[in-house]
Order: sequence, then structure tokens, then C-alpha cells
Amino acid sequence: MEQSPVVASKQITQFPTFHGFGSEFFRIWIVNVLLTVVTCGIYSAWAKVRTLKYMFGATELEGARFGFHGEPIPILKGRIIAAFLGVIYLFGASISLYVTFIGIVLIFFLMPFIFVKSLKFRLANTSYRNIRFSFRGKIAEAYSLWFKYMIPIFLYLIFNLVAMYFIEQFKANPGAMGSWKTVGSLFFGLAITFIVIYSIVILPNFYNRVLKYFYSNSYYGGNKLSLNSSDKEFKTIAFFPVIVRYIGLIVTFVVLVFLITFAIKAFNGAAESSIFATSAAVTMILPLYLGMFAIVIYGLYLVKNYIWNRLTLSPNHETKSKLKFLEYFKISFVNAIGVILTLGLFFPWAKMRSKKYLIENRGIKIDDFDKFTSDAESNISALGEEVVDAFDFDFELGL
Amino acid sequence: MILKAIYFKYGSSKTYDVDVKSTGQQILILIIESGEELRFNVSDCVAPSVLAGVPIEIKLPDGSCLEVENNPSSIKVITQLGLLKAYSPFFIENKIKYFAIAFILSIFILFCTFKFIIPSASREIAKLVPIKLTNFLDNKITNQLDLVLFDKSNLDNTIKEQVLKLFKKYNIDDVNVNFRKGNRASANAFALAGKQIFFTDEIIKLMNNDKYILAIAFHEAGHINERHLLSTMVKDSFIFLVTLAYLGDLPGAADNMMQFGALLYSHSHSRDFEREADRYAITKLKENNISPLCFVEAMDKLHDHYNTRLHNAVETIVDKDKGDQSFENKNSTETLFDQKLKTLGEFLQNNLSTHPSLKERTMNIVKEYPEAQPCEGRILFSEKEI
Repeated sequence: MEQSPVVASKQITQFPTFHGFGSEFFRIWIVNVLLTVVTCGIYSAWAKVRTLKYMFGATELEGARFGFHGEPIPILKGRIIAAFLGVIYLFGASISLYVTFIGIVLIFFLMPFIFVKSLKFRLANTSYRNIRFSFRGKIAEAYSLWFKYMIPIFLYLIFNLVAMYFIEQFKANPGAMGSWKTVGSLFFGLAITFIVIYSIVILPNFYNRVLKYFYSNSYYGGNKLSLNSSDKEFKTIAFFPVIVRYIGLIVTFVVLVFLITFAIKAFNGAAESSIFATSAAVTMILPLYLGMFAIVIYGLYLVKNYIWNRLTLSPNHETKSKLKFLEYFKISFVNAIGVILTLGLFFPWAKMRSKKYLIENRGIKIDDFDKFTSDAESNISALGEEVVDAFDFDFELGL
Repeated sequence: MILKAIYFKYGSSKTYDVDVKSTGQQILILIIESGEELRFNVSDCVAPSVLAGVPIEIKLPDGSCLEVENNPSSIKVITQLGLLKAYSPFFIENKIKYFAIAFILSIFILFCTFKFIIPSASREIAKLVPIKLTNFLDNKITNQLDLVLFDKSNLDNTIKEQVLKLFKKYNIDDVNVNFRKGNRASANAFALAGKQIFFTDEIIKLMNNDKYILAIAFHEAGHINERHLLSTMVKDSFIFLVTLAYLGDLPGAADNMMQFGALLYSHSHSRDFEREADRYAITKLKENNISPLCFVEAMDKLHDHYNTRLHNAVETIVDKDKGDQSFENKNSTETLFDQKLKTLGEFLQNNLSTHPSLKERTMNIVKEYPEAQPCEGRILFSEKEI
């Protein structure tokens, strides 16, 4: 039988070029800030659109730029609701733990809806070569995924509410049901155990399924994206950063206790003891934060690399990542320091530096960019996306 | 004038190099590769925005679009044709003179917002909050404190009555005084948003002197009078909104750090509130012919109490081999390193905490009233009563 000839693939990996400059974005940002403050926040929606237009417009792949086409008015509506919810939450949290819990429960039930709406809006308004992206995931699917993996978290919240109720009862009837402090400690211990187990065993699976749901329901025109990841592999890459994070917390706690007790013992003095206690606590925050920062960056790097090496755009365009941890960490670290030292003024440069690195080091294998055709959805409410922003829930789109 | 552009047909990712020119009412697009000509009415075409360094997109009525190089001549043509949808902030961003003004204005407005507008607006808004709402807040906070912090007061009723009588005598009658067992809050007093003041059993026992307790009550009445707690809540909401507008999409660590900055800013105002309540207490003490040093002595007692408490807590953890060494002995051998640590600690407390250091608070009063007589208080109850 005659074998078909092996055709060498003509596909070569194309890496985008990012043309954004800190000095350019600084001007946009400052004008955004000025107009936002002068208009009591109303302009922030226009500011966001201009920022996204700049980010997308500065990204070039094979001679063409990406585009963002979102309108500010729907974003403004979303922002007003998000700011209102944020202030209610802040006020509520300061007067009652119950309000905090009600807020959390409310967010819990709304999260899949917000998530899907924000993805639909963002992708429907993103284009490349005048062809729109789209997100076609069903809300029911998002809810099913959410409840499947988040029910333990929900039960944990309910557990906390019940715990609070019982502690209140114990306090009202001291001696009747034992010490409320003992019960409180027991609840606290159980909660910590639950969080540790959940974050190691279940959370990586959930994260993987969410990413799969997002990417596998995303389209460029009529071409489908898909993510070829597995729970097992994802758990392996998530395990190390999570474990190191917990070890770091425990070590810091032990060292902190040791430092304070040692210092106060050394002083054996009244005034100095409280002063040194404060100094030691504050001093420990720095290495703790640095360590956590490094491990968070490492975790992000692992996930970004993993995903970007397993994505496919139909029919057979594979993606490739060449991110390197040390370079990524160096950029992120300098950015954080720069933003802190300049009270935020370095932010535009920081943003450009990280965008440039992340965009230019993730590419796609495509032989002919001219063959894609349009097939997209648009006109999606921006509400979802703004609520997500206000509660600082960031989702890596990978664009 | 001819503009070089890339043309994107609707529904296809194929790109075409084109020449674009205007014939007054129409835009003429010449596809170089095929020689095909396309015409569109200028009034049907739109350039949604212009951004520095980003090619200008012109949307055409059939869903296709043009990508024109961003340079001064193309911007001039697009502006002359009236393709720009609205006046664009690009012209502020792009002209160094306008941008410099915008930059200075932004810094100035942000400075004024944090320095003057937020503090004064918070105070004014706090004053406008109706008493019903403050009572509601007080009830909620009281429930919360009872749930997580306080226990029922163990103080004898006669002691409570004595304290209340004392407050009535000195016209502290526009507040509701509550007594609670402080537990880990130890010797402390709090004022809430409306009219509630809390005294822990521990602080009453510690002070055990009518003038000391009075000085502390005046301090808490100062918080109530100026509605400090409400101001703090309103101010924190303002900070949340302004930082959201300023640094809305700041990533990860930098965001946390800026939130930490907002926290420090909030704490600096809390320290101002404490100083204000101190001044209120001193004024009230003087009005009632009581020495301001009563407040100083009460604060000194609190200071000693907290240090002793901390020391005892540590003593239970570390070994007690050197228990015979008194504080004074150790202090007499204080090294330069110890002094530097002490200075660092004071700096941290004065810049990070919600309260100024007790040392700073008392020193200010001593300096301001050098002629003040020592406090002559009356013991409220015997050791046995406690």
C-alpha cells in the first residue's frame, strides 16, 4: 500500500510585537485621571475604553493590530452599580459580620452570571483584522461548574454563620454548653484545615475547568479555541506554589513569635517591649510580602506557560510560550517597587513593561493569516465586566 | 492628499494595501493589488478615536474598515473631513502645553482631594447623618462587639451608679454610658457613631479615681461630639472611590501596596481625631476647674498598664531565669542599638497606628500647661469593693 507523503508543516510560530510606550500611556493615563476626578468618576468609563483601545491597538501580529470596540455608556452603568455595591459592602462590613456574609453569599450566587457576561462583553468587543472574537459559553454551564466545585466553599460560609450563632448562644448562657472560647477555637481549627485541604485538592481542578470552559468556548471569527489541559497536570503545577505559600506563612509566624519574645526578653523593659513588638512585627511584613510576591509570580508564570503551550485555534494552529520565570519576576518586582516609590506615577511604565513581556513571549503557529472568516456575537452588556473589576477578580484572558 | 492605509473587508481577515483620498463629499479607496475602487460618503464614515502611537481606525458603512498610519498629516486629514466622532482627549494628551497643565492639575486636585476635600467632606456628611441611622449603626456595632469581644460587666451596681452620678454632675449626660467586661480589649473606653460610650470593667478598676475617669469620659465625649466614627466610615468610602478612580486597574502587588498607603492615610486621620478628642477633654476639664494633668496621669496609668500586660504575657512564654532583674536595672544599661530601636519603634507607632503614642499625647499637654497643678482626685471605691 502506498504511503501518503509526509508534508512538512509550513506553520511557523508568530510572536506579536507590542508597540506601547510608558511615556505615551502616561499621557493617556494622566488625562484619564484628571477628567475622571473632575467629572466625579463619570469619565472613568471613557478612560477605560481609551486604555483598552491603546493596549489592543499597540499589539501587532503579522502586520495588523488588535482592536477594542466597547462603548463607554454600558461600562458606566456597570461602574455605578459596582461602586454602589462596593460602598454598601464597606459600610456593611464595618458594622456587622452578618452583612459581610450576606454580601459574600450574594456574590457567590451572582459570580457565574457576572463572569460569563464580562467575558462575552470583552471578547465581543475585541477584534483582529476586522474579525471579532466571541465567547459562546452558556450561563447554565458556568453555574453547573461553579456549584460543583464551589459548594464546599458555600457550605464553609454557612458553617461560619452557624458557628457565629452558636458562639453567641454560648456567650448568652455561659456554662450551659461549655466555654464559647473552646468552641470558637475548634471552629477556627476546622476552618483552617478545610481551607488548606480545599486549596490543595479541589481548587486546582476547579481552576483548570474554568480555564477550559473559557478557552474552549472562545472563538476568533468562526474558528474555535480549545485548551488541552488535564486536572492531574494542573494539580501538579499548582501544588508547589500553594504548599510553599503555606510553609512561608507558618515559618513567618514562628519567626515572628520568636523575634518578639526574644527582643522583649533582651530588653526586659516596659516601654521598649511594646515598641520593639511593633518594630519586629512591621519588619517581618517585608520578607513575608517579598516571599509571597515571588511565589505568586511563580504560580502565575507556571499557569501562563502551561496554558499557552496547550491552546489550539481550529483547525490546527497551536500556541507557544517562551516566558521565563526570572525575567518575569524581575519585571514584576521592579514594577511593584517603582509604583510604590513614585506613589503610583510609575504605573503606566509598569503596565507597559509587563504587557510587552507577556505579549511578545506568547505566540501562535499560523501559516496564512488571510484565511479566517467572520462569525461573532456583539452588543453585550458591560455590567458584568465592571462588577468583576470593582471586586478585583481578574481573569487571565491570555490575549 | 493621499493616505496610505490597510483595508479590511467585512467578514474576512485578508488585508489589502490601499491608497485613500477624499473627493470632498466622498472617500475614495484604491486597492493597489487589484486596482479596484471603492467609494463611501464621508458622512457615513467614522474614526471612533485617536490615540498616540496606535493606527487610526476608520469604520466604513459596509462593516469594513481602514487602518491608517498615525501621523500628524493623517490626523489633519481625518480632522478636516470631520471623521472623528467626538472631540478627543488626544489633543490634550498630544500637546505638551496642555498635557503639562493636565499633569499639574491632576496632582493638585489629587493633593487637595486627600488633604482637604475628603477630611472636610467626611466631617460635614457625618454631621448630616440623622440620629436614627446613628442609633441603628450603634446597635449593630454593639451587637458585634458583644459577640466577638465583650462579656457582661462584673462591676458592682453601686460602682456603676457612682460613675454615672459623677458624669451627671459634670454634665456628661448627652451620652449613653455602657459597662462591659473588656476581655482582650483590657482597660479601654470606646465611643461609637451615635451616643454610645463603652467603659470596660478593667479601665474603671485601673483608674479608680473620679478625675481620671472623668478625663477619659470627656475624651470619649469629644469623639461623640465631633462624630469621629461616622466621619471615619464616610472617609473610608471616599478613599475607596477615589483610589478606584485613580488606580482602578492596578495589578497585584502594587495594588496591595497602594491599599496599604490608603490605610496609612486613613490612620493618620484617626490620629488627628484622637488629638482632637484630647483637646476637647482638656477644654472640658479646664471649664470645670480640674487640672489638665488629670488627663496626663490617666494616660500614664494606661501606658504602664499596657506595658506591664505585654511584659507579663511574654514572661509566660520565655524562661524566667532573669526574673530578678528589674526594668530599671536593664534600662540603665541601654545601648546605642537599644536607643535606635526605641526611636524606630516610636516612629512606627506615630506613623502607622490609629492612635498617636501616649507619650506624644501627654507631652503635648505638659508642654502646653507648664503651670498646671497635679491632679487631686478622689478614690471612688475601696479594693474590697472591687
